[in-house]
Amino acid sequence: MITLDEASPIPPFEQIREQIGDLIRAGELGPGQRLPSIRQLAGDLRVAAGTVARAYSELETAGLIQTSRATGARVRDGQGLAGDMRRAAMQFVATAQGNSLSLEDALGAIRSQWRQE
Amino acid sequence: MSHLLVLFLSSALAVLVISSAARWISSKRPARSIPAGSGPASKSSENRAMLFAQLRALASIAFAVVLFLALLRASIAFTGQVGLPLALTAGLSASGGLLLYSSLPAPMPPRTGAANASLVPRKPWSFGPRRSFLVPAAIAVCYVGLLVATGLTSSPDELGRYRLIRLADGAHSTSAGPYPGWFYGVPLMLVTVALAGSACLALRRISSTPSLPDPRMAALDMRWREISTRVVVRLGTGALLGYAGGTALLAGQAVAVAAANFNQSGHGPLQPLFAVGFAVAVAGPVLVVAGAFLIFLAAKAAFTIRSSARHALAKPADQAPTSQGAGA
Repeated sequence: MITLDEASPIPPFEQIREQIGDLIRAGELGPGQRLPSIRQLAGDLRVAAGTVARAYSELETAGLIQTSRATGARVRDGQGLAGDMRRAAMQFVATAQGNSLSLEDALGAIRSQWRQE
Repeated sequence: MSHLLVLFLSSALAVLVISSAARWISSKRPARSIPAGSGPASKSSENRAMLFAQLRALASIAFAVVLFLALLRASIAFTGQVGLPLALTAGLSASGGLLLYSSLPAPMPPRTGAANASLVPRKPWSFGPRRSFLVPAAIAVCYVGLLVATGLTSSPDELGRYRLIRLADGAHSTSAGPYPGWFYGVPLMLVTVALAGSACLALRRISSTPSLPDPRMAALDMRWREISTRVVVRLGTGALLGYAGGTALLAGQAVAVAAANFNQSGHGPLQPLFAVGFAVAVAGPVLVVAGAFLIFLAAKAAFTIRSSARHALAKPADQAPTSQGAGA
């Protein structure tokens, strides 16, 4: 399930791209899994088909999915995070939530640590 | 016959006008704003969400009934077509109803500030078990096979219409009819194709309709699609069974009568042709009754989509129906 926030300053295509990309990296969308058609996703999210098409196109450029006219969009192999990375992320999220951090604050902590390394 | 064609084209135009009007009204009506809460969805919002699904099914059934009455009246007035327009009436009416169903637009969704979407692809066959789609397909194939078989064994009447079965042996010959030869068979094959095509379009409409906007109604969204798919499949299967039964009855009767009359040496009816004809003639009404029962079940389900969907959700999880993808 993905959610499009109409009030968000982030463009709709970017919200779609980001959420699907996250689900693929987290392994929730496995290799070879089919994604809904552009028309279905656009209808459900109440956006133009071009918006979803742009998100899919960027996901394909990033190597996360492959699209074809015959089989639609599918998740490419080997795009999920490694098991240890996923475990570390889960541990970090649990700690962040335990400290009542918002998502932005938690991401800020990662960014800060990333720059120091 | 041309009058019947004009009537059917007028009906197709009516489908176009009704669906265009519904589309226009749907686009003009301002989208309501409803808050997306975190608790369970209210009964009234669920009822509202189900109303359209039920209205669409009921409008299609009403249209099919009106079309049936109009075509029936027109086909009774025809003379010289030996029942052909009458034979096409039910199939064309069912196709018209299914076409209207597939052409009515989805309702304008209420604005919630956020839209949700599942990442599970929806296909026309996603909302029912695989066998529920294979059975009508198999019936359609068998029915076309029966029509081809009767066509190949048919003989022309005095006007050159292939609607008789003729048995001949040297100097003796006998014929019986009406027999569903090419004269009835070819139009009936076209009706079968129209019925199958319109059912496929209706199933496609069910799967392509945008999901309900409130994520708390995801299960309800699934249920109305499952029930609507069942309605369409039962309607199509029932119509096909009715046609197959009617054709079997006519063919069996003609074969049995011809075999009974082909009594050269006074040893009774020609066997085993008589037995085959009799068995097929007996199977015909059974198929017709089965088809009528399926159509009754489809109509009943269409009238109760709203309550059935909500009732099924109220059942414990272990009694709930199969989930999406059962037939995928």
